[in-house]
Amino acid sequence: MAKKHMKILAAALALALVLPACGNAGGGSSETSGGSASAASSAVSEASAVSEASSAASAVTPAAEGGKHLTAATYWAAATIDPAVEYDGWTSCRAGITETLVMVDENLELVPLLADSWELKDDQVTWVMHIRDGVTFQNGKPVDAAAVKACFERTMGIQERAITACKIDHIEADGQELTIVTSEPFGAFLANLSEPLYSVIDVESGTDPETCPIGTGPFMVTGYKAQEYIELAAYEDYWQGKPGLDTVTLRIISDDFTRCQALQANQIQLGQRVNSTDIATLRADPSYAVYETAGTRVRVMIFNHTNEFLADYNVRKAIECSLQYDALTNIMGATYTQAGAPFPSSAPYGYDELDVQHYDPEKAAECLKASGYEDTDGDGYVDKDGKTLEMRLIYDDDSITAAMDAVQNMAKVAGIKIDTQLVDTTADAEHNGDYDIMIRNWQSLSTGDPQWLFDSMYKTGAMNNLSKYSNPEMDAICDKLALAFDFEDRQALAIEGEKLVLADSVNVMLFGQNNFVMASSRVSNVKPYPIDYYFLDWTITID
Amino acid sequence: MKKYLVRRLLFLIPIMLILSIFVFALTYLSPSDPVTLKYARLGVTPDQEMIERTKEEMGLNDPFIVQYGRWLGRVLHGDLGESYKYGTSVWQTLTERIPNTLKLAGAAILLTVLLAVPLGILCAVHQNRFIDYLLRIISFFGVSMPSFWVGFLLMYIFGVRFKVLPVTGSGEFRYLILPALTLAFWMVSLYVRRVRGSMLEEMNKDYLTGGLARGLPKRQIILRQILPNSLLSVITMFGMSIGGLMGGATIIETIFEWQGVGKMAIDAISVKDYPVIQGYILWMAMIYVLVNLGVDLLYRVLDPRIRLEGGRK
Repeated sequence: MAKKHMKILAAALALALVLPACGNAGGGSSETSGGSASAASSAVSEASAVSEASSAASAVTPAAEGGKHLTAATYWAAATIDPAVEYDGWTSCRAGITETLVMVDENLELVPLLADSWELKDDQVTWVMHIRDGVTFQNGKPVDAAAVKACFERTMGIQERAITACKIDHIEADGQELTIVTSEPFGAFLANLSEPLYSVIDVESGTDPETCPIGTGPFMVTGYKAQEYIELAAYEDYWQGKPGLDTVTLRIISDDFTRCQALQANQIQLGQRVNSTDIATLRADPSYAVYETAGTRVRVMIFNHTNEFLADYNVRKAIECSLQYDALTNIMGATYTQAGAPFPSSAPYGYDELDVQHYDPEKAAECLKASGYEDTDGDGYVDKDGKTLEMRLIYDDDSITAAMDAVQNMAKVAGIKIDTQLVDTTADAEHNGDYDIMIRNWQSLSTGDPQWLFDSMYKTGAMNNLSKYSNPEMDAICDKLALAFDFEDRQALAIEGEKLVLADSVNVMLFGQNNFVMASSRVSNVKPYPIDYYFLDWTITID
Repeated sequence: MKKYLVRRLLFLIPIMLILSIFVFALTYLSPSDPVTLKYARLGVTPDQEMIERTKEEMGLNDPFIVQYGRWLGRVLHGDLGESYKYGTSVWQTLTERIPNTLKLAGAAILLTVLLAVPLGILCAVHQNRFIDYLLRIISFFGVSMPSFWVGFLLMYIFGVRFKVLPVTGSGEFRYLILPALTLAFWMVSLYVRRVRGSMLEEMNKDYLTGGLARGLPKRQIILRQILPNSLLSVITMFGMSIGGLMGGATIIETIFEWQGVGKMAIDAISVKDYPVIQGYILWMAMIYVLVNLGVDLLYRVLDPRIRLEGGRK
């Protein structure tokens, strides 16, 4: 009897062990795989074949045979690589598959890319752009204005943001001349055109753009598995020259620590974003290089100006002056930097001319006194008319909890009571306005242009003006920016806007975040960009 | 047995229905507004009129029970909705991820069974000898060390230091080794102690002495009587472990970038992607009720004294 039971037990255990093997499905509908990419057109047609059968073989990053191969890793990827879908173009741009008409370079300056020149007509709404001669899609088809028009019209049909972000009314094409007419004068037009949403792909290629867009970039898709990897091959006829790599695997490794371990294990040779604790280790080892540049993200302390205390400039200024920005940055780690102003110091918006936010306890005390606040009951917090100066700070990112505790303590030293609270999401508070202070992570220069920040965060009544800030001078700056087409004019207006934000102490820029790229020392020509949807460059090569 | 099985399977229906109400309520009560999320995906800033119209179109103004009924109908047809974040089918995502989780869970279970049972027996048979002390010390550390830390240690040793195994990846066998070892390290440690304890308890019973007195070899008694009886208490615990593993080892899958349902759940939770979270909970619920059923059936097979249908035969 016992023998029989043992057999049954063994059979049951075997069943449990066999069961998982039944799930060797791999792949899925989002997987694309192609073969060799020696000829552009054949590679593209192979890639578009969406070979489901290859799923088992290419379960993770099938490496190229021969040639210069690089495995790179980034921390996030969209659901598809179709530039017209949501923000998915950020992934195709990061992978070097697609390009835009203009781009923001490593100095945060707008430079020509697929368009080599442009002109704004006197009506201030008609932009005539010349599409660079000699550019071809990765299937060999020449890029002309008609192809760009067809691409943009498809994108605008899928994504309303493509219409609103550049205020496009209609597009005309004639040879290499692309005419875009905006619905109103819009100074940020060119800069916003650099957003990967406006990537140019061949919409008549017959491939599925969600898995295999045919772009103009140095690398074309030969295999793709959503959220896992993109296999790329060099596009030999790339218009800027032959790419420095033959094949690339771009992997998605979301965990910072794991990505660094993968570099050290030589599983990858290039990685985007580095954990602050790993920077020193990598820098100490000559086998690796760490590249750093100021990023464009800033963590902002948003004051609700409708709050009874925060409506008072002196209270806002007192909080601003009570914070020790260097200490907060140290708490966050080596990948963070002091912000001081809405735009990063690396941006060409006069950071050095500004009276940036800084720790000034005397000024904090002065401001509170000027508004009649003092500690009458000896509890350590100032009060006025029997009311303690007290407010609630909410945030929804637990990685900044230590910094928030420090903010609470720093404010306490100045006599201001701030209760911090980590919430599931700040979305509700944003919707119903029920908050005193809120922490948000802003992309201050998403296309290298200042207008978006002022228009959406500081203009009276703007949707993202969570401070409920209103100042006719700021509104006038926003209006002027819409009509300013010269870079120097826009630069002057941006500086004016920043000065106003700082003078009104609208909110507090707590700290910025630098962009880091880590690489094996065998990899050369790595360029860190302030805007991190630029990553794989055609010049990158490996020994 | 067949009658019992049918009855148990029928009993699963109300359990799953009750669970489904909780699962649906998760989204219904969540602070995220599906209309706002839908428009955010399309890059559109809707006005109040658009929001109201879309709410009506999506049936969000209907009473809870109507919305639940509609949702349940779709679920029964395999439509778990679309991810808020990516707009992809939750069903498709789940079916792509489940095989990976099953592979990892299967490998960890295989290692656990192959190692924990013989080592547990070894400890029990050699109680308070060197091998027993050694294995108990190792298993003590094994159950005390957090899995993610073991994972990082294994990554460092085999990936970074000796460069013999990949530290991250999904699908192929070589990518499976480190996460499976990480999971198995904890489970083996746990089950060595558990098997040892159960074995010792059985070995203290009179039938061992009786068997020996009748001249039966000790090895035979251990393997044929003591081991099956000992495993009864281990099976319940093991069933729960299997359930947990099938639900995805969230931390391990995340740090090794293993594309299983556990990582999917973590990703979904971090962006409050409620339809994906719903799909995950339904999968977990199904796994647990099925594993519980399997454990109950195994009990019945292993020990006829256990009455599954009430009363003593």
